[in-house]
Amino acid sequence: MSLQELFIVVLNMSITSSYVAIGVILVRMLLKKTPRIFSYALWGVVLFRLVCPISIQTNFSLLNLLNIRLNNQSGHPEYVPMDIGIMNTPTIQSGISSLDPVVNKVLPQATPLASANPMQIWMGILSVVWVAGMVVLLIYSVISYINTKRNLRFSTLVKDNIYESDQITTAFVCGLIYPKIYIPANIDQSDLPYILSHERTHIHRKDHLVKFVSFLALIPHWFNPIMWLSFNLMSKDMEMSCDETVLRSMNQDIRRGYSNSLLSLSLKNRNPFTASPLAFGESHVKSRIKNIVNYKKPVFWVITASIILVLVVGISLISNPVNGQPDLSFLNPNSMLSAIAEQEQIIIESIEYGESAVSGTEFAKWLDIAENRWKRKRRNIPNELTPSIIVHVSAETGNEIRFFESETYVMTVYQDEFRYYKIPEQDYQSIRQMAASGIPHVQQITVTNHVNGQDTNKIITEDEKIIMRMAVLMQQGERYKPSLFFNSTLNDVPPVSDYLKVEMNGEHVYHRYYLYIQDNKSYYIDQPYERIHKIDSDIMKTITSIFDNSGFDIGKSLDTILSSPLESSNAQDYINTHMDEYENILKYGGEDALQYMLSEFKAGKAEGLRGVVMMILCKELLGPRNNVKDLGLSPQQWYAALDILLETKLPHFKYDGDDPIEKLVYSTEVQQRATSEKRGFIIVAPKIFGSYKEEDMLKVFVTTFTVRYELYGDTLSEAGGSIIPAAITYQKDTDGNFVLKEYVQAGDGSQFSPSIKNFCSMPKSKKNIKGLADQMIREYSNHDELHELLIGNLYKHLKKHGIKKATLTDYQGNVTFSITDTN
Amino acid sequence: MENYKLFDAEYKFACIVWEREPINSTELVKLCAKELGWKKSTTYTVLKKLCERNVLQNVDAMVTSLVKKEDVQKYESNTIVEKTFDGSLPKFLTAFLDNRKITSEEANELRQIIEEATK
Repeated sequence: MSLQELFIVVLNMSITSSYVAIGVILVRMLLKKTPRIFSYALWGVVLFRLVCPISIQTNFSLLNLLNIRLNNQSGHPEYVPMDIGIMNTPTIQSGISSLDPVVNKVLPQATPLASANPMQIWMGILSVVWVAGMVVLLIYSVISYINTKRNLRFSTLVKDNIYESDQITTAFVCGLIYPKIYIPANIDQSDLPYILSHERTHIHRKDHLVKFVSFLALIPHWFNPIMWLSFNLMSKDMEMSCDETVLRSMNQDIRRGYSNSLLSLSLKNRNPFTASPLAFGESHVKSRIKNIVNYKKPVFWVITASIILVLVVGISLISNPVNGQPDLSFLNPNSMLSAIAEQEQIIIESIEYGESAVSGTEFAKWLDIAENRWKRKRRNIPNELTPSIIVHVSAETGNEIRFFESETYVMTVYQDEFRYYKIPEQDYQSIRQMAASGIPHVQQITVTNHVNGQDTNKIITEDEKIIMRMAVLMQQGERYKPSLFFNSTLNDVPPVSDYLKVEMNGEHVYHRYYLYIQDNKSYYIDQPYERIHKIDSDIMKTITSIFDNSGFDIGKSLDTILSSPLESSNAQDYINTHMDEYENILKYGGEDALQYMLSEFKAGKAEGLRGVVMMILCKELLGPRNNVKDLGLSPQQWYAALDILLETKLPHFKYDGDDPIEKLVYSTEVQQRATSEKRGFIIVAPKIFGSYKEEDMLKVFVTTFTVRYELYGDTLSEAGGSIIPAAITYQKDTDGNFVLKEYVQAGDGSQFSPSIKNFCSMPKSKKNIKGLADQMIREYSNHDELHELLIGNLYKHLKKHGIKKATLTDYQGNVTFSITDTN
Repeated sequence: MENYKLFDAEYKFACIVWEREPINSTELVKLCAKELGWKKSTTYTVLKKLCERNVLQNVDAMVTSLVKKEDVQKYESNTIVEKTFDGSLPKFLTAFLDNRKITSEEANELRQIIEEATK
């Protein structure tokens, strides 16, 4: 434990002790009329709190009245967290809720770029000051003790253990094991019996030891004024109760003589070091004399009541609150099992896959086995890592299991408590898989029917039942993995022209599935880049039937847009207010919506605002097909002038050169990019980084710029494109021609570089090709060369197909490419 | 005369010498241990001090007085009280009184309280 941690432990103990001391002081007021021994005894609780590291927890701890956080190891209240130095926003929890924000506001925030936080530095300084204070106090005490002993050297024996000295004006007990009583020389013989019986009582009751131990306990808490006050009040209670014991032990009433002795002795006390800064309230002498003269032998019931009060208060102040019994047990994965199994679905939130749900029984089954491999690991401070996977066991209690990508630990969380387990790497991988395969936690499903290369109709649903049913169906089937990269869909679409696209949207998820039939007999659910499931025709039927009765209604959507804000007459305001609805029409309405709106125009039902909104929508849906460039026309004028341009169909790009490898690559790239999309034509621009032959195999490494262009009249438009590095492997067939064997393209995001490094190997021996991957990665960011090649190819292509005039403009209206017939 | 004012302890020590002189210093140590509760070193320290002040003399381990008992005075305890060290008594000792002065008004008030309560 570092010095700083030790300081924080003492600081927390000090604050607890302060609350306890305040409690004792309050109860002490109630006990004013009762024998002082009870008040004296209560201080024992504070002393216990100051020194005892063991936490006793009871349900009736008075600290329950405060808003206190307990340390989950020691069970002690923790106002100042152990890791305050490294907290981003240092916060304390003093136990008094209204005080916390004030204190926390002045605590300095962490400075993430600096090597030490201001709070860390402050805690460092404070802990050094704390140690320095203790040292000073100790040295001072030792010196004054030595001084005292030196001065008492010449004290002379009176009798037994009683010594007298003319160097002192008050009597006291000195020495721990063989305590001696020192009395001032020349004391009045009448005072002597009282003083002696007082001091003897001290020794008899071991008060001198109590005081010494209390003072030792005070030293580490020197910075706490409440502790000094407590020490002083404790001394006072000790003296008073000692006085009372003397009075009680005498057979006759000695109150007068005793109090007079006290008075006369204190009058002699004329020493210059009077007002000690650490003395509070009225002088002890005054209150003691008052206490003595008012002393009556206590009645039985007062004593009984006081004993009960002291016991109750004592126990409730000596103990810490119980930190909610179930807390700690729920940190144990084993105890989570039943709660998990009871739930229909458990949400697994992961950085990679968003939120997905697995069935409670399934997860419980896994955890039951995995949990045996987990080893409890002690950690006082939670790490600062962001978990990559969180299993939400219970939303109400915040019961979670957190997994971390960068370290093989799980952190179980229950409310504010946490616990660590070391887990084998395999368990991380399996939870990751579970997150990937879970049912996405979605709020909305959009199903798009794609027929013959065209999106035909879209259906959106937010019906929970349908979502759940659909999500379950999407998990059906048997996993099917035919050479993932080659046969799987590229460009996010399936290898057939008719399919159903199912998009699942949630706050943190976006999943896309394609459902299609291949070879008239096999049914697939294909999640791009993830996996292909082969399903049977019954499941396929069930899925398609779910959506038969619902659909996207463009009329309704338009009504929604026009519903507000009614005070405006500007169509754009309506669109801005309902941006989502507007986007929905563009996204899901598609061609159907366009046809519907054009028919409305034709029927003359496009008046006013509705007309303007429809015109804006139509223009956006038409894109380059809109031949009317005049922006000042009214909707009906615009429609009158509209002559929807038909697309000029061109084939995809074809390489005319002589290079056999380039020829292969061009044709492969066009094949790979060509989809069932009916509109437009594809231009590719592959930059070849190298080709490697081994026996009958050829592997070409290439980064290809692909763009799909559409041509309407003389307007050229880009309809999507990509720049993707890939490795293409060919093998000679029986005729000696190279045919495509494998096509591997670079992965997305974090997979990008590793996937390139992975595929840069020889075709047959799979030996790594030095430097190639680095070159491909390095040059990827420079698109100029590729772009030049692309534009060149586009130009050649248009020329070849007899296009005389075509212009491409960017979204700002700048012409980026044009071709004009110069012949 | 100043020289012959003795502290309480010194006076008690000198008294032992006057009573038994001439006295062997070893004998004196034993006596002091018994009557004053002193250690050997304490006895020799005080003896040395009083010899220096020519109150006593120690010749060949024989202690005798140089001043008569009648010529020596004890310091009044009140006069030397300022030299006491009560003010710096360690906090951890159980002292009969704390070291706070009470004023004469307070004393009078207390006297009255005592009178009234114990009539």
